[in-house]
Amino acid sequence: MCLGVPMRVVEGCGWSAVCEARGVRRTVNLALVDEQPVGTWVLVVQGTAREVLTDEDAQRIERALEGVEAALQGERDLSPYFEDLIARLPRRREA
Amino acid sequence: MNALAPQRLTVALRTARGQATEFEVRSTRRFPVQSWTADATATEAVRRIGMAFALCRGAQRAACQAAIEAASAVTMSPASALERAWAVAGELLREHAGNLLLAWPRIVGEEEQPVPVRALLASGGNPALLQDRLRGILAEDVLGTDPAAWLLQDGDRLQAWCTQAATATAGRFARWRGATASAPAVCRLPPVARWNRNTAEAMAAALRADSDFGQRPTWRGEPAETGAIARVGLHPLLKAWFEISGDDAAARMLARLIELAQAACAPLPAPEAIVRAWATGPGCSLAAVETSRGLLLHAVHLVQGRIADYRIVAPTEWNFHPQGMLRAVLGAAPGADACRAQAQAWTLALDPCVECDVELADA
Repeated sequence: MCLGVPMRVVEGCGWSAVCEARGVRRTVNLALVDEQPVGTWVLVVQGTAREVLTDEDAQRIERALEGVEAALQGERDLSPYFEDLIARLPRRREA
Repeated sequence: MNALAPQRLTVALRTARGQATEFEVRSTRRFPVQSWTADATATEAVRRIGMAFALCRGAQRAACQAAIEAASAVTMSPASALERAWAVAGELLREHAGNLLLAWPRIVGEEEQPVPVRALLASGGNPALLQDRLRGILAEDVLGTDPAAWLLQDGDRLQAWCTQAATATAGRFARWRGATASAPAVCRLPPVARWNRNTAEAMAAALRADSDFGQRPTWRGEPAETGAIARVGLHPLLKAWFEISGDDAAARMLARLIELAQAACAPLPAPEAIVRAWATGPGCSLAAVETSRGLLLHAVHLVQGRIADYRIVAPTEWNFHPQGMLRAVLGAAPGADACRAQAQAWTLALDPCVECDVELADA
């Protein structure tokens, strides 16, 4: 599906920036979000930054992606990847 | 699969002596929707779905909400339904603009136009503001004329609009006129506005019967195209283009432009033209949502208010079906160079929601 990846700007030059996530660097098109300072988190889809993220949002999305990876590897309990969500909702009563 | 590695489609074509001999669509698109949503409540499911998708987040959340409401026999208030539909429509229009003003110039080596796309993004969920900005952007940057007048053109005027190339977009249509292969007689998914309960039940039954349906969907046993051309394929401008240039890649670009122009100068569409859902059995439902790339389907089974089963069929899987239209279009292209050019044009026209590579091997 169209998963976006949070990446951090490490080197900028106008509407093109080198961004990094998990040690992997790639050139990202910033045309939709304008120039961004080094250290900014952006959500990258198809090589283009679609939006600027707060540190909190970037961590939340990265956690969700880790959850997707875990699910693809057969892990069934994904609750650790939704801890912020679960903490805010009423818990199901066990039978 | 590494979720942080870009998901990709690869269109692979092997040719021999200028003729296509093998065609394959390979995909690393895998989303574990069953485990992602397993046992979630309605609220949790909507939130989790929204977390997983970037390009089409609004449509995915709307489809999830609508499917759960239908499975729960809950009806959203008309005001909320309208607000939800307009959020989806706004996302559709912004994606159309991105395809026409960013992706298209990028692949043909021309200057991208991010400023109008950013202006549309900045309008957020305000439909009146989006419509107003869209009208101005189309008139000044894209059409070079009032969108209402542009929509009323006949074939001769459409050709003149291309030839005069008053805007970069018009110039691209002029260069693509007759330059891309025409599609064979193609099955198209009916737009959601024309669905009825029978349509929904037939689709839900097909989903249940085939565990692979999410990856290789068919309509009445055939691969089918979805997208703007399935929604506005009968518009006079498209009929004129079919005569000028054929049912080609450029026709799909024109369909997007028609939808942008219509949105700029027409009343807001009814919610049921954008988001619809039907109960298909006890605790079961199917939702269909129109997106820029085509129809998005979510099928849900609830047990005691929690997700027991969840299926998603995205427009990319319809349009890049290994036995679909792309196979026929590329198979007919003479020679490796022609194949590559056609593949690039058609992948832009069909606009997958992931990065797409074209691999050509000439024996």
